[in-house]
Amino acid sequence: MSFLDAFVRALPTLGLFTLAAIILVSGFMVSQVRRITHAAFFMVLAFTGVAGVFILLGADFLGAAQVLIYVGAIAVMFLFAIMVSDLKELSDNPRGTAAATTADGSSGAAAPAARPDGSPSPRGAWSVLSGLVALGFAGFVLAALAKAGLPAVEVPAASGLPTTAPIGRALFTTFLLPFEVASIVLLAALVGAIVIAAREGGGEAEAKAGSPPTSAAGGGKGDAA
Amino acid sequence: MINPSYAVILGVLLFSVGLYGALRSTNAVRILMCIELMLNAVNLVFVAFSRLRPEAMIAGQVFAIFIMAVAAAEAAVGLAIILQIVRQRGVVYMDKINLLKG
Repeated sequence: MSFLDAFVRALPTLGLFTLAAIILVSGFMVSQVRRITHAAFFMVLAFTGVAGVFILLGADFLGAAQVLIYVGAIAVMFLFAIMVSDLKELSDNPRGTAAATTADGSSGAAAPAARPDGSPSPRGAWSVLSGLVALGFAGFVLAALAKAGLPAVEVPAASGLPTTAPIGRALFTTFLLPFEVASIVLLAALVGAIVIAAREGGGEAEAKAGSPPTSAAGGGKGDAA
Repeated sequence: MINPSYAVILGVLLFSVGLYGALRSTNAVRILMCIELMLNAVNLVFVAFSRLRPEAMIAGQVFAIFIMAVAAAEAAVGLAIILQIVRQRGVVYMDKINLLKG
């Protein structure tokens, strides 16, 4: 009986570890899978796992908002952008679209990512360097946290659950000014996104680019003229 | 029972995973995805710390809501800009967009 009791008490922690594994693996896969659509779906998986962690931490409104905003709005927006931007092979290794390099791209970083893996390509070195930077960041912050000493308190999982009313009350009393500023930011971003995305591709930038980007992949964009 | 410190550590790890992806990728859409992951990690740390301090429980969650609003705005504007770059130049790779390079 006591074993069962201990198991029930450890269940939220087990759930947290499972969600952590899902989140970290899928977050890593976002940068690893070749197709950008698969990366978007791995991002959705990570977002859903974060929503689960929110609910475990007793932030039920935030978990629901996470699912609605991130999974429902942002991920769908990413998928729409991938779909609308009409590139056939939106992968990180442009072996099929290597012809898309502009004529003036002969310097330094514009060396086409060497797909033959014989020599260490600059992409590989860059990947290792960014991995080192990320590991260094994680090590630094975790060392700082260990030095500061994270408290080993245990709070009941998913307790005090209806947080919607306190959040609403705080949002309209204590945080009223930031709330209004956030609404203005959202409005400005909405209008700006529509203005930027609805503008037809002008000839100005292409005229300055020297050579029109007649890539093999961009053959379908007839509105650039 | 659950220890919110684990969620703090998870947030740090998720942030560094997103940082790795954002630095490593050249695809602009993928970089934006990794930035979203990093913002999510910050949300996680906010909520975990608010759980560690009971008097600040609601404030941390409200901060996370504001970060969500900023993330939505950032994704909308960023994707619009990427869409326009793809229309005009036909590439999404950040190392191919070197119009300002001398």
